[in-house]
Amino acid sequence: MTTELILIFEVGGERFGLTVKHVQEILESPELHFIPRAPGIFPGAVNFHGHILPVVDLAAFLGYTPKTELVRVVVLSLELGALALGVDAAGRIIRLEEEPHPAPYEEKNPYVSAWLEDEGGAIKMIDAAKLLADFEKM
Amino acid sequence: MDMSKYKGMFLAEAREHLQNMGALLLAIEKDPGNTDDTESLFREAHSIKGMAASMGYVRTAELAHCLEDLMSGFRRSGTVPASAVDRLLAGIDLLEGLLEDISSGREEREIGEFFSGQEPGKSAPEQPSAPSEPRDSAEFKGKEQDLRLSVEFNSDAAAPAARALLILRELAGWGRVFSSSPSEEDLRKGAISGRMEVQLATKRSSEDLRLLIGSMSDVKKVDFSEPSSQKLPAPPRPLKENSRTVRVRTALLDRLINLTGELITNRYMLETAFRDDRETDVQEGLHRLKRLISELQHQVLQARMMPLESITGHLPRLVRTYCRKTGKKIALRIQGEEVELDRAILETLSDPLMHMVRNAIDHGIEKEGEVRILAYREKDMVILEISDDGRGMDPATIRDKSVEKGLLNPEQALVLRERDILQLICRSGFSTASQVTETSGRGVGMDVVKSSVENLGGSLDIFSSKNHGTRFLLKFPLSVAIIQILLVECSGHLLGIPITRIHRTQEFSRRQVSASGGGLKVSMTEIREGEVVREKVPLLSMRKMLDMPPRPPSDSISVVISDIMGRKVGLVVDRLVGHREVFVKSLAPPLDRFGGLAGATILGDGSVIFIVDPPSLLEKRTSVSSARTAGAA
Repeated sequence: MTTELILIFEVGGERFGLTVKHVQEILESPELHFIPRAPGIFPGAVNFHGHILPVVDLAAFLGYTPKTELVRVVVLSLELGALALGVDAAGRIIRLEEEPHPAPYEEKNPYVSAWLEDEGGAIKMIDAAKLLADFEKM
Repeated sequence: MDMSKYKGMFLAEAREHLQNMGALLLAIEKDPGNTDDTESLFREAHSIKGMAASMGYVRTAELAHCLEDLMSGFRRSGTVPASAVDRLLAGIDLLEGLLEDISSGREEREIGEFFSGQEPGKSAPEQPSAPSEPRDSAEFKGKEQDLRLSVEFNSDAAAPAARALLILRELAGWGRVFSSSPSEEDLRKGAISGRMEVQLATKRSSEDLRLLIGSMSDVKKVDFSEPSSQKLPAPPRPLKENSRTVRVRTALLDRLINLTGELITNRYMLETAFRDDRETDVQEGLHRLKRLISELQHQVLQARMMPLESITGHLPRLVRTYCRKTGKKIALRIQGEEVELDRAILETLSDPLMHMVRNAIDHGIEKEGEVRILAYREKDMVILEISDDGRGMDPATIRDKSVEKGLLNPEQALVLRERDILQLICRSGFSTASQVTETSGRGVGMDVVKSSVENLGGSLDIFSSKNHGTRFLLKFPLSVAIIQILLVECSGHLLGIPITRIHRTQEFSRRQVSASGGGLKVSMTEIREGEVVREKVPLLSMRKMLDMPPRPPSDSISVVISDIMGRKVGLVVDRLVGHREVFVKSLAPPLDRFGGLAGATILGDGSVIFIVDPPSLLEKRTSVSSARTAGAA
């Protein structure tokens, strides 16, 4: 039996999941600091205990209509890389009861590796390592 | 002679002597019969007295004199009674207070209380009125003798002429100075070549003079060319290397000079190879240049290094005082004091370190135990461990209390690992929650500790479990890149520009701006090598370079004149905010991919400032719009 914990968050009205192993901390409306010359999907940087991390507006990055204000920022595990994700809502953590199934072929988002189903519908599992790898190649 | 410019030197040295005295006293307390330590203590007190008297700090000199007298008694009796240690420590504290007064330009505080606190019934050696041996000329009953004295200074002395002047003053107080070479006049002009000869008549023995002058900083050797009747004592012990001042070791200077020589050779080699079109030699030369430059950088950073000892030196004293007050029995063990760190890191670390030690002795250890400080190097990092074998902290309690206090919501609490839970004691909300502090036994000021360490680019880990003590693990870089930046504001955002990239800054009124050749220019007047030079400098809008909306027109513009590819350009910003000295953090991907960013820093208020590099800001735009200038400036 797996005991994996999954953090649920919302972007553009859809639900996404991220394994808790890849999450360092969830920040509530942190202060964003201006990054000169950053592309539009980076609304700013956060000072996370002395680490300067760029925040990517996940809605804008994934092609949804971005909200004007970032309510929650998910700091990815620092061992994984230096990045924080701006999301619309986050906080609920669920215990994984069964293995997520592979994403159906109509799933166009390259960062969604698998789907979970519950009474509310699909939870799209984000592959944080792939996301970070692509940002580092930018 | 204006002594005020020597005030800084006096304070630095006096503090050093005081710190030595504190350490010596603690050693004497453990081993009261150690005559070497007693001797050193006497000399330290004497040095302070002499320096303070020369500078005209009467009370400091008087107090140091009193301590010196106490010590001279013990020097004769060969042992320091336990009761005297407290009194001497109190004297050191009072001296520290006096130095603070001097440092902040206040009048020296009253010291009468210290003298009146002296109980008349105490044993004879503690009485200043019973000096064991004559040291002041008034008390000396011997014959005046003529002496020719030569003083040799250390080659790395910061201001040998000033030092020589101080010695002359001291000598004048001990006898009659007939002549000196260099003369007092020349010394005032700063002329000295590492050595001074003095002819004087004094009632003091040459042994005394050797001891007294030999104990001053920067003095390498004291010699008498007229052999006195007395047998000369062994030469004074070599002076401990002075590490609390900004002196650079000669070995390091030599290394820098050698490097400069190698760089010059390298330049000639490159020039020849380039002229003769020998490509492999050019390649090799560049390779060598790269190595030399990184070596240079390394050596220059070395000049900023100081041993950890400079901030741990006063801790034994702190622990001792605390134990005296509370009756706890705590041993402090410090290992790795010789590990060297950047001065800036040590300065930032000093208070947090004291804080953690205080926490350990105050909250961690209940009655008896040990506090350990351990420092060692691991690659480019220095590890500093502060541990105690006290009651420890219980992660479960901290987790529950944090949720209770609203620092965490239950979901967050579920995510946290044990070591992250211990980090919660560094939350500012946690620190002030007194009940939590009682149950967990920690917390005071840990938020400050954590942010200091993190701002240095370091990290703090906490390990603890109930009844198994607590261990703080601090990791930080050996040195940090510290640079001067100019803070500027553009469209409501702050940016940093390295000072090294800036020629000057200036405000121009609108009518000083002229349009020419498709761009805007300002006329700048400068005096260069005594001649007035006028030139037109093209303006570039920083807002435009950063894709910001243009600024509404205003009467004047703030301009940062910078050199870009050998040409002067004026970068128009909204506002010049000011200079800062900052630690630069290098950028990790993807931040390092945006172009034009040279790094980032965190200001005191926690805000993140990115540092831009003007030439590379422009580089990216060359193909698109380099000709466009500050239209809306």
